[in-house]
Amino acid sequence: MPAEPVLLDTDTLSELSRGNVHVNTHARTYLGAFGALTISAITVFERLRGYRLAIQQGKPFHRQLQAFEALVGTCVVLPFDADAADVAASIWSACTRSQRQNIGDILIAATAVARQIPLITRNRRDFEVFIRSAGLSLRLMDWSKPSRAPRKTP
Amino acid sequence: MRPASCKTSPLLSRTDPGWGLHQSETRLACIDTPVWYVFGVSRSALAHEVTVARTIRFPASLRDRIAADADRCGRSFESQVLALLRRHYGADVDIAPSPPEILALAQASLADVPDADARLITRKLRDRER
Repeated sequence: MPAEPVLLDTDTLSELSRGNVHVNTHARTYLGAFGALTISAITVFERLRGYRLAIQQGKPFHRQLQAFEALVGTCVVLPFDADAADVAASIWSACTRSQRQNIGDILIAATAVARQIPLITRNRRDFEVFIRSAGLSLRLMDWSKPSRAPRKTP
Repeated sequence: MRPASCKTSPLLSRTDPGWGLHQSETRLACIDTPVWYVFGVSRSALAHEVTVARTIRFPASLRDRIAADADRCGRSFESQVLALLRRHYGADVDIAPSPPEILALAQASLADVPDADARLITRKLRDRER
């Protein structure tokens, strides 16, 4: 049983949408405890723009877009606020030019750090780069693997 | 009683000081026997407020009165409670979806989408995108 709320990054939500068994199991347990998934407004933006672009290109994904919007309606959506912006600026300035290209990850990591909650990601390496570069206090967990105790990254 | 971990979390204090009640109350529900119902308050996903799941305990006498009213009105127990809340507070009240319903929505959001399109829909924001 999770002890505290966690933030799902975009890839974890995508894995859940694809039916990843391990992510699904973790999510079911988490929902049993907290009643709602927590995602960031950045993730909402990333997914919505994908649907809207595909629909603009004539692809018939209106039904999937509606399902996503309904899903978002059940989630706690953390805004990218002034505290997160402050953290994001610190991460961005500490990163190399190539690392800065992962701007979505920077904004999501900053949201988790500003709220002091763990981030659920299957791209641990990408976020560990930010942790090392900017000296962040960010806990990372991976739901795409079988249950394991959370690891605190220095 | 809230779990100790809830006391220092900015997320909890910013969104809802009572978040975490659900977990402990559910545990209590296994010990006592009254009927428990989980409700949620649906709000705009992008608003500053959030959807909060709540577990409500009804004493047996109140439960019986609500059930009798629900029967008279041709509603289920849950619908009767929602009708009362809506009448008192407005329409922005609903039953929180269950975990399977939420997981089904997640899967429906990419159902029947070819892999190439799914990659487009789920790609992360990068600088220098076109």
